[in-house]
Amino acid sequence: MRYDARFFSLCALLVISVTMVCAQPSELSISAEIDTLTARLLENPNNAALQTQLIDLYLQTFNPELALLEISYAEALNQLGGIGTMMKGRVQASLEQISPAIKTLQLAYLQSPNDEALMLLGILEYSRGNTGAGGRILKRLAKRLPSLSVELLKQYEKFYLNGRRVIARGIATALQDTDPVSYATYFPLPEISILSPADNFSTEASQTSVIFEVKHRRPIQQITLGKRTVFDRGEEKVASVTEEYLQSFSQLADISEGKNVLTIKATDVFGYSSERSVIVNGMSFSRIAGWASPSSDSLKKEYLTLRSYIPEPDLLAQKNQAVRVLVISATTGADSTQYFDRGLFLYDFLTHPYSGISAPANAKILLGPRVSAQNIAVISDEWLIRSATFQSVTILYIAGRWEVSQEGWNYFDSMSQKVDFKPILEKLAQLATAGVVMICDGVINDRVTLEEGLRAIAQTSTIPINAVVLRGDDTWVTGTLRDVTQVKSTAMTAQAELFSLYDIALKAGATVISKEPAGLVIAQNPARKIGYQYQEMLVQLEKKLGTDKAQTSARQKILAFARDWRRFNEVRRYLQNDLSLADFIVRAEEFLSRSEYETK
Amino acid sequence: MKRNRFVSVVILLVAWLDIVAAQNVQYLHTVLVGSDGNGRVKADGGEEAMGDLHDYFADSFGGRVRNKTVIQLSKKQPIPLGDAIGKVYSSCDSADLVVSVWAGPWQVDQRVVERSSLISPQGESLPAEYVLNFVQFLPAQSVLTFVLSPQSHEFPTEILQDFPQSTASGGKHIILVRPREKMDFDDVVDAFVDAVKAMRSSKELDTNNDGWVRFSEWLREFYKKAQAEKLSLAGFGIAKFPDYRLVQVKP
Repeated sequence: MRYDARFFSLCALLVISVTMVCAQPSELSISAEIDTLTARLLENPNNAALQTQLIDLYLQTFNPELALLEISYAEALNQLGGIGTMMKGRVQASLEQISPAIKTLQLAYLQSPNDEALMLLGILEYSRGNTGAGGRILKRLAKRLPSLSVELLKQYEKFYLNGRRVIARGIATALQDTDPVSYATYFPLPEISILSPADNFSTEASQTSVIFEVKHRRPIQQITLGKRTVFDRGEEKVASVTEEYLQSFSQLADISEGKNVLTIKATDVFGYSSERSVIVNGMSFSRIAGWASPSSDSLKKEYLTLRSYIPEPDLLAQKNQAVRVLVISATTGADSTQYFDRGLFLYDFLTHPYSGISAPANAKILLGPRVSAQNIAVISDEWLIRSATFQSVTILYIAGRWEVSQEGWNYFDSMSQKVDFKPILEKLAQLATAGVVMICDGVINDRVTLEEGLRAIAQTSTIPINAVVLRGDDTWVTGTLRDVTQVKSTAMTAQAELFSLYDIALKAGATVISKEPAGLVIAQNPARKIGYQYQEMLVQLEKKLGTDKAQTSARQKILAFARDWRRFNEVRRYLQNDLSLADFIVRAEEFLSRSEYETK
Repeated sequence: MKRNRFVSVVILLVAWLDIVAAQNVQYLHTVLVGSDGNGRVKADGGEEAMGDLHDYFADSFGGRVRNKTVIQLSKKQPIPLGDAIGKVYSSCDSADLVVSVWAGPWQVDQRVVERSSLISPQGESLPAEYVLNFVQFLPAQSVLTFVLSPQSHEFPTEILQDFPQSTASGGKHIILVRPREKMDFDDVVDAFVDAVKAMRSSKELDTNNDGWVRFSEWLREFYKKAQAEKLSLAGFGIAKFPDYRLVQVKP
């Protein structure tokens, strides 16, 4: 009867094996030893010793399901006796059935005290988080079992590599508690060396190359850079747990504005990981195309009007690569829109091709959420201070809420975090550069103290420093806008086209704090430039009309026509002989008659 | 339909309240292991008293009995010691009370105290750690284990050094029973049996007058009785659990 049952089961297994063998090329055999034992057991089905050996082999090779099948057979045949409980406990542990395994192993121990049961119980207690009980069992065991750590490591490998991660983690914790030295030796952490970039590296680029090396005494499972996986072993089986790993990587990482923490994480096949980070400061802080403000829009519109009458080359401002612009305008409280508007207007004015002498690459703008203490710290340390040269002229506009006292000039960022600008400005003033222009704007609790402080900085500094504390309204914006876009025919000098802090201060009704009267040039005034240039052209026009022997009436008509600066193109063409006198007269007459008709 | 559900909820609630309020011990299990030593180490008296102790404990606790496991190590056992204890483990419930007595001489291993074992003629390998694990592993929340050993071959107390000396609450306890004066092991066992026997009449030890004798109240009274018998008790709290009710003294 028993023989029949076994024979039937073996036939069933054989059918399954044949199917599997046909389906895939791999063999079903687990090991030659097991095959031999199975064959012997087939010949002697009542041999309890062989049965026990087979179950033990199945457990050793981590085949708990097959072991359980054999235990069921053996129990049905009453072959196992007392050791059956122990084997069942081992099977349950192998299947990660922690609580049932604990009960079975406790019973097995009480039936027949043995160290293997105690060790497994200690491990299982750790696995279910009962470190106190587990620790007590294993510490007692360690006193009489010098090889406990080795045994734990063997168990760890067995459980981890067969996917029993909960118990594996429990064993690792147990080993860490009972033998920290072995733990550190067996579970070394992967070593990560970042070769480039250096920590606190600053870049204007949107990407940077990260070169690093990972070295480990165990196989590596995964390596990530930020959220990106740069290496993944996947399901690939580990040939040897002592296989060493050494690999260099060069990866591009995206850099956003401000502080970027690039973290490399390497995890080995046992789940142990280490991390290494490098800080890269994204320094672009360029203008976002979508940003718009009424004042800035007006400025551009007016410049466009100028452009419709004046050829572009005549409007372009001469760039000075040494001029740097930093606009910081926090958007806090009810005045947030106002500061955004002013900040953007000034930035656009200072960098516009017609008015800006600073190249856009040398200008940075922090508006709205960009105005954070962290970004201010990065930009002031890494750019404002570090990249300053002998030729640098720094134009600094800071608008927002200020809390000024003798101790510090606290400025509130967009998260209402305080940033003390006093040391930053003092440091900037101490650098040997070509000059600093400081514009403080916004709600300032104590203007007098701030002005006194700025005056002290300007007086003690060896470089030209112009500073102004604006009154907090936008009269200087409308004034500046009018000044730089409305061409006047009043007499001007060639220098009038230069725009300094005095021009802004004049519109705002504020006083420029400066050691020397001459103001540092911060921009070009296109309206004044065109006005002056046109004045010169009119003088030349009169001369040329004389040379060309124009009749008095024609001369008067042309001069009347050219009175308006918007005739810039026609006058220029006539002066350059691109337009004949006759054509110029026709053009002037045509214009005057149309004007007369429109007046009537 | 709704009514049925309501009734079911009420029944469940009453049952739950009953369980919470009662917390009574369900069954008493006794495990009494005695050894008179072997040819080289004689410790008469360890085995003889074990047979009677079960009845004294049963009388004293007054509850229902599920297991009586008496093992006299010099005699041939019907089933091996491990199997007998395994049976107790398997049939034991968390609300049960297990009382065990281990009486006999111990061969102490000075280097590894856990290896110290109970000396018996059968050569049963019963390490000292087994007693501790027995107490720890049992699923019952109330476990009382008395260890009696001759002064010449004492139970190694070092194994209990991680546990606090306390018997004030419910839970699991190991109590070492020693004579206060020089006394033969035989007399120590007799004195212990007398103290247990004396507990049979201790129905008036309901100190908080709630109508129930609690596990901790029983223990306190037993300390007094043992002292009267010139015994000294050293109790170690192995695990803390709620204080269970043992005997109802007032209906």
